[in-house]
Amino acid sequence: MQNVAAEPRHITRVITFWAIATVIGLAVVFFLGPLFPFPTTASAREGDVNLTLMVFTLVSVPVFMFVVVFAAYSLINFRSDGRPTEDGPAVHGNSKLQAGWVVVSVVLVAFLLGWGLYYLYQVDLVPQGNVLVVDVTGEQWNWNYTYPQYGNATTNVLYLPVNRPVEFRIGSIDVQHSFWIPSMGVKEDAVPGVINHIYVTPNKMGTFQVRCMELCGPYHAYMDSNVKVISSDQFQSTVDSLPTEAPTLFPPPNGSAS
Amino acid sequence: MTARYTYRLNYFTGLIGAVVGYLIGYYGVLNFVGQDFQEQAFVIGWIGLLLGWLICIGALKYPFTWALAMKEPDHHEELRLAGAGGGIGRYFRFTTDHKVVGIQYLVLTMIMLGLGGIGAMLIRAQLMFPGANLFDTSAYNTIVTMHGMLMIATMISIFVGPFGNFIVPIMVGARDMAFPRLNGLSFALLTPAVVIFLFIPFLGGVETGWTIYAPLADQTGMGADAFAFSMILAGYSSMLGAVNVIATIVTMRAPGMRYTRLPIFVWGIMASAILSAAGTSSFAADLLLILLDRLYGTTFYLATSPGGTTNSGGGIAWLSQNLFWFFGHPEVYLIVLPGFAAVMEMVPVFVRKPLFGYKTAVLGMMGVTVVSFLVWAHHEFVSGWVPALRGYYMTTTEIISVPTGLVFLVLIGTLWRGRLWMKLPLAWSFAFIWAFMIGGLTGVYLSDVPADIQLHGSMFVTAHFHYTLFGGALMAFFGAIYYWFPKISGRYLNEKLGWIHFWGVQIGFNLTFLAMFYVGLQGMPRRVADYAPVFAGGNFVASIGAFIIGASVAVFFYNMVASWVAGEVAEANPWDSKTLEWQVPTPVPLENFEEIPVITSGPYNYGEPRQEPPPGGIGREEPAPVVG
Amino acid sequence: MGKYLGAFLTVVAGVLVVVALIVTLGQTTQMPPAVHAAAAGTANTSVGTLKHATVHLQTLPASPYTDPAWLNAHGGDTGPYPGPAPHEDWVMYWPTTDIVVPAHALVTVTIDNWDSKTPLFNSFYTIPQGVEGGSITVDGQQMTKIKNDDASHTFTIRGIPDKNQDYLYVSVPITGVADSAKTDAAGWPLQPVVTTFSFVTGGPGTYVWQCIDPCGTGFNNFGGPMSTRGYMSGVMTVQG
Repeated sequence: MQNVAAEPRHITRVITFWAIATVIGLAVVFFLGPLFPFPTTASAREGDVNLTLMVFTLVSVPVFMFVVVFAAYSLINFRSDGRPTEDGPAVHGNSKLQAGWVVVSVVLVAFLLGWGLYYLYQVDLVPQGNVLVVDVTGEQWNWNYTYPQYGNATTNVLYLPVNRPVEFRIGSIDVQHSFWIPSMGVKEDAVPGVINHIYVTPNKMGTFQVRCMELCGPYHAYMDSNVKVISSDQFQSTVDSLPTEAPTLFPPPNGSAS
Repeated sequence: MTARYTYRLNYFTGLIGAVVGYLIGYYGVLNFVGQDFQEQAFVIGWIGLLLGWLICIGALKYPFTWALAMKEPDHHEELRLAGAGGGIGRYFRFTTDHKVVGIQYLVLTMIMLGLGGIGAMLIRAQLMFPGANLFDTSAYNTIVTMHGMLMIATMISIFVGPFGNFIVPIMVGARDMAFPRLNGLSFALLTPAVVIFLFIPFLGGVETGWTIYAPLADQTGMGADAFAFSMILAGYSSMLGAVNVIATIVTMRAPGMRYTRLPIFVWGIMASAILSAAGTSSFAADLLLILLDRLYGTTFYLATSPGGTTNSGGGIAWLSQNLFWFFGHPEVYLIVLPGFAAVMEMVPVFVRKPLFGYKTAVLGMMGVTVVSFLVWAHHEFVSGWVPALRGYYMTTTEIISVPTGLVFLVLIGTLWRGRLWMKLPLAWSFAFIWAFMIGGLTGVYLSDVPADIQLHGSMFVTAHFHYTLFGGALMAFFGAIYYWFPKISGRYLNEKLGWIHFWGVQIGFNLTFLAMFYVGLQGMPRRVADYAPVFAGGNFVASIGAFIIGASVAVFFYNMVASWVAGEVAEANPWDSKTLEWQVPTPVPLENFEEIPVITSGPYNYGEPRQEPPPGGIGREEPAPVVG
Repeated sequence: MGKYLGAFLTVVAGVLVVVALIVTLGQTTQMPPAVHAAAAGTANTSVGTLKHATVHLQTLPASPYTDPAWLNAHGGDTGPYPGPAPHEDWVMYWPTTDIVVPAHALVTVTIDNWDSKTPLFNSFYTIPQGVEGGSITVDGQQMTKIKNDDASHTFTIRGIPDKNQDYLYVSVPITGVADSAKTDAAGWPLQPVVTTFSFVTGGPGTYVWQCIDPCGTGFNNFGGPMSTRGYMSGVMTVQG
């Protein structure tokens, strides 16, 4: 016996639960999200990434709650004791609901896509001005950094002056590695035979990590190095004290940063 | 060879043939070509193993007799080959009966799942505490690679193998698959693939991860040759099976079984088969080029020739990534689409309601199938390969979330206002909804390029794909096996053990992979044997969760074996389902149906007045009035 | 009740299989025992007076069991390897690659190199880094850099930042034996090239060290011994 009159009651109840769950979820994400132990943010790019993660999570909360609340409500309210004695209503579909779902999904996807394309554009922007070029050589299982603008001074601890745009030119002597500074949101593979470029401006002083993010052999887990972001004066004196070795992989930089 | 002689051939004779073939190949190369050709000797040895196996199980007999225009087998002989009159022995030989092949696949995939699972336990034991305590880094990397590839190979075959073979032909109203001998051959290719794969630890391992990127693949131990060879075989097994499945579904449906009346599970298997047939060759090509680079000094993937940066090899490492992911991305949908379809198949039965939006479900799955070929370079966002195309791949990847989301609409619509019969298949379907929801949403994060730049290569990715592949496909498989076990074996799986299995996996799985999301966001790389102390808490929790999963799946394996042998006997249609496989008796007769039935409606017309079967039983009816 | 017992026993069986694999594949059973630095009094360093300890290693062109004359001249069959190592033709550090040194000490390492020259891919490693005084001694001569063509191996300790232990990064190039040197019947030189260097250890910790010279097999010569612990890479434990 189908109790059609009960349908609006179920719908109102589940929508109410959904609304409550969404509000709670949004509040949790919004207020507790920033407390998550992300790596220390040391560049605007990394700040953008954290913002993106926050926004995407906020957008997914209503979607997630929709599915979970409806499923849980069905689980609790429509459960039968043992084998059901009768069938449920013979509903094969609801074209308005199906069309509406597609429209909502497309709208959400369009928003996420727009957001993503905007930040992708930001990421790809070549910085202007006094750009520091750092040649990053990945090899098994070490990173070396060379400053071609400073007579090819080479080091295994990456020194960067604060607030100066950096262009990383990344290459590999042997297998694929991946150069990642978690605190700055920069990652690019070191692919043998090509030079990859990535840009960032560190905006915070301190010591951070470089990690290798592509399995490159037995000591991949140990292919870390330090990044020290220091003031410009300290940077100048540090670079002056470094040994100079001509790197094998990189052409000399031309006048501009690209 | 007389027909009678062939019937003596079985897997044990095949094993002897395999060993003899291997020894001939291996020592043949070493003795006649040279002692220095150790790696080539292994590969030729494996070719000998494969040929010896195939010949000595009788898989090549029919092509051989056909080519020599010898007498073809008559119907009686074909039935004998299919196992008519055979007892348990027919499970241990090359056979053409799709039901026997289905059970053979089930056993093999469960063995592979167990081996992969043991690998996972080793990985989590190592990562439980910081410091490379148990395994040195090379052994650990090999374990990671083997766990990954074994699990992927298991998941590729876990639906199409057991259920695509056993259930789907009956579901569409056929007596067998379209190409029964090819069916047996598919299985006969997968078994030596697993055996050769297990050579890896004895050959020095392979340290590349299952993605086997070059040039590390060129440099790593000889296990890479075993990996490549065995996975080429497994790929062909999958492709041949896919072709068979598609032909069966397209050409052998019962009269009246229009495409709109096909059970949704059949659509899912067909989508998976299309993806396998179209995409797997790319993986085979990738692996073949790796073998050539390793054995014969070609430089497909090497920009610089071995030994230094002076001479150009002319190749590029990106080729390895592209060939791999051109297959790799459709492959994950190949794994998960039958999972969607299995859940959509089970839910109507256990809520006694029609499937909500059947056409939406079909369009969703087919949409995913098509778009999945357009998205692969989202695995290469940080590789430096054509940065200008990243926007395009981000767009297609975000678009694919729309058809994927339609599946959730169908499931929620089906559950809504049904009469939920809370048996294990339905429980696993709920688990699927939870897990794939999380997996899918986290995929959206990874599709956004700037976020992916931060998250690529971290444990976040590992947690995402475990939520989708384990939470999506494997949990759907568990539900499906509780559903179809009574039809396949004639007995129920024990329910109490089943609930222990279910809750153990839920608790363990969510603990493990939520903790893994946490450490991934904190910045922990994946595929590392050791990590910084800041990740210690999350890893400890993840390991505990993993051990819980391991124990629960061990309970499941016991349940399968014990129930098969001594479980409660099941009747023919215990779940009162409307699909064709439940309308035939258990155990299913050799040719499935006494008479092929005429189909008059889809299998989801719950809630409508029941049609009494006409006198004389199913299959002999006048066409009934069209309902639904 | 029988089914619960059966399920429990299956779980136990699984645990046993996993443990058995850990024992057979794990490193606890694979590596020869570590070599401990020998105490050598105290020494003055740039950071004050510290304990002094010494370590003596050899780098060999192959397993010493392939050259019995060498083996007999250098202690015979008493090394920690009870017999030939699994790969006889691989270059190797001898007697082992697991080293234990004291914390807060000056450690002096002497490496006798019996292997020929293999130029480095990255000439940055011709410069010794992290060593006391900024120089090393090669056959008695003090050097702050060697020629890239003279390199044979390196001894490079990975600092592994980001762990709760002091950063310790040391890299020293090991000079190779000249091609014109006299050799014995098995092709090994009669005299090694001896490199000596010292570094100061910090607090306790575990560090990974490797050779970064392409002296192995396979692609880029970083395969084989270069990718296998116990030959050209190992672990250094700072204790106490």
